[in-house]
Amino acid sequence: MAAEAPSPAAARVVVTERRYLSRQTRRTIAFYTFIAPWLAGFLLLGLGPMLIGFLASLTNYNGVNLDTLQFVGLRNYERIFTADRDLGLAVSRTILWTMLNVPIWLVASFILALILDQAVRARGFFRTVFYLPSILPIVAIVWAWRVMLGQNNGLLNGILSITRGAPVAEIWLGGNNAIYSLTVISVWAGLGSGMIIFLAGLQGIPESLKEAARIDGAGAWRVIRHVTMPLMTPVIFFQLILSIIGSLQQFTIPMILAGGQLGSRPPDSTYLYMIHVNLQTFASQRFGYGMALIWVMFVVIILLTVIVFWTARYWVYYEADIK
Amino acid sequence: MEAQNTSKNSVSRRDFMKVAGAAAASGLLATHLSAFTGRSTARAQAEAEVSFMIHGGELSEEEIQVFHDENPGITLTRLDVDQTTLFARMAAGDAPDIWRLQYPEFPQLLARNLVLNLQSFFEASALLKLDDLVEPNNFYKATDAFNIGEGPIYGMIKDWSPDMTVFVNDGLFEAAGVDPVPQDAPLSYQEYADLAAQVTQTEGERVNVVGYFFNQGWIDRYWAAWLIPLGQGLFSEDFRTANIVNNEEARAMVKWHLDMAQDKVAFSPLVQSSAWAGPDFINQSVAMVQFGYWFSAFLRINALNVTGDDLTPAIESFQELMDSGKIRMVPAPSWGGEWSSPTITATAAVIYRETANPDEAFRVFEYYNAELPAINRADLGWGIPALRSMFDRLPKDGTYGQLMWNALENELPHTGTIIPANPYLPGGEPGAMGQAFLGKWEEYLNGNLSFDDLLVQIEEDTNDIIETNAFDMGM
Repeated sequence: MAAEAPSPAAARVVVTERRYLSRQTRRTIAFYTFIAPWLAGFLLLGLGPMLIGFLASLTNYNGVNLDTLQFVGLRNYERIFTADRDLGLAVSRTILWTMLNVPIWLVASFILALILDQAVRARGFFRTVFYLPSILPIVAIVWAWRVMLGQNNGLLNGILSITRGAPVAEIWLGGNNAIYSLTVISVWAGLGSGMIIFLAGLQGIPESLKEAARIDGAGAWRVIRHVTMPLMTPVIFFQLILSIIGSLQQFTIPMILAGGQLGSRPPDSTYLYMIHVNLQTFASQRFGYGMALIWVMFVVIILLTVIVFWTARYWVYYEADIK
Repeated sequence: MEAQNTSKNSVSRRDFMKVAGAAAASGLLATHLSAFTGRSTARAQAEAEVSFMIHGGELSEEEIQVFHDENPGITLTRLDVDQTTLFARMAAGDAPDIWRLQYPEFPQLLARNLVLNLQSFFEASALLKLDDLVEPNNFYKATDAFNIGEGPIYGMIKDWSPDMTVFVNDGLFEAAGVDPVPQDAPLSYQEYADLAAQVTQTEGERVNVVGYFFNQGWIDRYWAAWLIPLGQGLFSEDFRTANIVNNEEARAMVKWHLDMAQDKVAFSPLVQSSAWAGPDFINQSVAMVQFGYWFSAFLRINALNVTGDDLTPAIESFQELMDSGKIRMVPAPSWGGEWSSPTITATAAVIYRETANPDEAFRVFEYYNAELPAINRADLGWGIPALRSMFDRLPKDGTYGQLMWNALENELPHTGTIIPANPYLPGGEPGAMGQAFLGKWEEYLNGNLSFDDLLVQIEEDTNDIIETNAFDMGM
């Protein structure tokens, strides 16, 4: 049976109702409805604590002094630049660590992705194997490395003792070696996650472009240098930003290497900024000051990110930029 | 019970910090909300909730279940020990009803009026008798934050140990051709330094057996405890300044630890432990470990009682030493001649002053300190009971158990000292002074800092924290 057609009056009502909200408005409502859960989470658990942390940085809050809480203005920020004896060490070690970790991790995970992007047998298996460290608990990873790098009973010193023919007790987790060990552990633990993102980028490069270059006589290196690398620069840029931020915020690995307890202090070589924040905040019980240290780090990260974004125009290639 | 004292003029600051505390622990918000709604529901059903921040190994699920069976109407919830959570919840006005702490943390909490005076609760209790408490409970008696040791009681140790006794491996002494450490009287710290040098075994660069272990986290507590028999302290009488640079005895104590590290006869940045001293001692890679009586239970559980697949050759070898009486606990070393062997942890529990359910919280407190959990701890020897009436429960079986008990009986008469903690300093492990020392000793050991400069920096850093905390707390 054919459907009954609506009367002209009813049709006018329907049209009016539909036009009550424009398409754009409905799209806007849908957009905010979909992002509302995330936005609420960010405001409550992200922005809110950040702002309240900033307010706390302007007070003498020390964890238990609610009854004597005072507004101290910029005193905590002044202290950062005038009276913090260990801050110089923390900043210099963090810069060195970032300069070591970021390029090594970027290059290693990119090379790994290039290798595992080839049509080799069992590449799925190898991708899984290399990704595995990324899903292991970081505590387990660090303790495994502690066993390997131990001074008197460690695996590495055991191997060195055999090769040198004399007992070796190099301190890999202390002294100046500690920062290199930290880099090795961190790169190893993060290699899989870096590789996965680079692989995703590599698989988005059209094979026809590489094929065209090969037909023009380009070898494997020239294909990588002049086709793959330029097309991967947006991914490299993304990874660079994240790795700089992650390196500046590194805390867990040196803390667990140092024993993992509140108040544990890593060797000077791995006394990073966030370790300093932790000790100042909790061991010295300077919560207001700790918040000030964190806000300074936040500003530094923002500035560095802006700088890297600014440099992007010179080295990051976007297809949309082609005029 | 004690009147709750709330300052009206601090309401606005408190409101601000309620939010700040909750936010600082950002991820805890959900916990706070659920705790809050949970409490409302509990009240509606006339069910009292008591939260206890304590390690899982110190209050088991089974013990909580027994409490619930015996105490209908009280819901006991265990929270993991976490200082961040504790402070955040204090700031939010929602601190745990009971929490675990060590003695250096107590004066500051008392100064801030955060702990409940338990005197009247103890006087009314049928289970916890004041005259049954052992002396280390005096760490939690106070007239005010500056006068600890006498006065009303605010907390109770869960169990305790004279923490500076030494566990020795006579097998390693024999192998090194060194006479065993005497059992009946203490040696001096200098004598221990000599012994440590003699029993340390090296092979090329490698240190196969480290002579001595001291706990780096307790370094400033050692100094404080050693100074007391000499009539001295680490701080001025008003606790406002550290006293090391011009204190000859304190200088010698700092130097003793540095020399042990420099000579590579103790764990330090120059000789690193593969894990911690416990497994190192069982693996016989350290000859002497300065830990309290509780360590005897660690060795019993992790070596003596190990069977089946867990029984490695290393543990088997260690068991033989235990069975033949070659693993001993000997008196705490002496600094200055006097045999003094106090606890330097006094791990205890206190009740939040603003708890909504003080009577129910004290009921949990009684259960934890006098009933099943306390009995279980005593039976295992995981510390000495806080009640004299429970001493008989400590293990005395077998060669090892008897040796430990005899050594403990020998030590107990020397354990009465109370170490004053600085109310201006946070009570961590290490404390502020220890933190300053550990932040500098690597530089000293590498030859980049002189001894005098090290002491000056320790003192300055400590004084800096005292000054800022005194200001922060309006003291």
